[in-house]
Amino acid sequence: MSDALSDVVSSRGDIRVPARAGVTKLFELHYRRLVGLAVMLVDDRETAEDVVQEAFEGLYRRWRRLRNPHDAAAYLNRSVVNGSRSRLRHRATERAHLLPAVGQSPSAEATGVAHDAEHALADAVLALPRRQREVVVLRYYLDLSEEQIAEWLGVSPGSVKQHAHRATATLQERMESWS
Amino acid sequence: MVMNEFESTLASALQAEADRTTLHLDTADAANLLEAGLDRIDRDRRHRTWAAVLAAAAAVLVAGAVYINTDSPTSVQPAGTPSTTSTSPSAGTPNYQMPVSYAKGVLLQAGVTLDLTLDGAWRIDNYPWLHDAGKYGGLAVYRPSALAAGTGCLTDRPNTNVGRTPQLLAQQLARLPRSTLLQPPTPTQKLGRQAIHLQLRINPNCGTGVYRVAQTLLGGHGISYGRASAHVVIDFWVENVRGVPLVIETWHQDGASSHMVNEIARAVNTLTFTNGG
Repeated sequence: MSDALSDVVSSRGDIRVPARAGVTKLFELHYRRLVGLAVMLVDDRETAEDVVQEAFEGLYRRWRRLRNPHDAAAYLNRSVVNGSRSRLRHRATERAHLLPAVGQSPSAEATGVAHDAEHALADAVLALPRRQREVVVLRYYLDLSEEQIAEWLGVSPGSVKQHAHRATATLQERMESWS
Repeated sequence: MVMNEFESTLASALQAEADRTTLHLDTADAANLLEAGLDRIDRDRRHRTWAAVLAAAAAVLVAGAVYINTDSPTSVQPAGTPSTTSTSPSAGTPNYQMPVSYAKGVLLQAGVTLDLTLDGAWRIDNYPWLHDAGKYGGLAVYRPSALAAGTGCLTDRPNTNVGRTPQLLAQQLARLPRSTLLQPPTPTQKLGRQAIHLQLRINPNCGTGVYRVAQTLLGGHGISYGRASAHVVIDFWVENVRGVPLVIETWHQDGASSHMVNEIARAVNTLTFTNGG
């Protein structure tokens, strides 16, 4: 358990601290990170902030059913992922996939805006097809295993592996085309 | 997970992207929104409890009393609990403190000196209020996280897009639901600071419900008292206190005694602000 999380745990090691104090502490610890996660899934920050607020309110409602603070952090992660995916499903039109054709270099202007390879790579992730993007974000931002991702997204581990393979192949091609 | 060089670059790129997109995130504003959301959940829970109790008892309670009971700040305060510390006022020693803002780990509290020896003495729930000769009045100090919208009644969703400057906040207050503007927003001085003053008359009658002026750190702030709520005159002063845009409010029902109005005016001028732990 991290030192920060230990603040919301009683001396007995359980989570019987007042719900509001616990949620407020977790908000301080995780809000920014979770908004970052949600932005990568839904594209715009306003929607991302709404999703994260709803996640914390959901945590407050079910606080007494949690057994330890790790459950709380996991609940928040999963709630944000589910909320983000739900928002995307309800959008009338999903965003267009803007990934440039493989082999086409970013324009000089785009290169100037994208200060470095990391920035360009992150843009390329955001331009992936939705399911591939979700797999990449869950794998490399949340550090989930393929099995966990499969459970969260409700697909088979084989499907996760396939999406991850296609995504990383596309991204590696993109990186090579810039070098 | 063991990562190869490309995967490490990818993980690093995503972390950098998250950091970049949240660089200018207003966490204080988000924290206020969260507080308002948690208050709403608490209130919904209490309303469900009260609905069951009231149905069982078949009690008839006036709307103001219900509101006072259901919105008492039982679990709202981030730190410290407002309490009366004496029963008679003396200059410079507030006998009631109320949390008004909590942002970036700093709790801002307002202290006020109430004369608790008077007839129709002050009573304290979310905020101090008086009852005298069948009329109600009171004062409040807060940074609103939401303002009345729709009909203004508790059942309507409030406006959470609250102005972040005294000017914007005053403009929003001037347009509260079911209000008549008696004095438009005007620059003035209040408590030794620049402020914007405005005055409204509001019809707060929400049937058996409550007119909520604002959602605040202490929960909902309402002005519905009595079986048939009389129209209420509210004075607002909006000013920056220690960098926080605050609303200082006095209110009284139409027909309130001059004794009550004068005591509210006296009390509000004793306000002092401190940073609490």
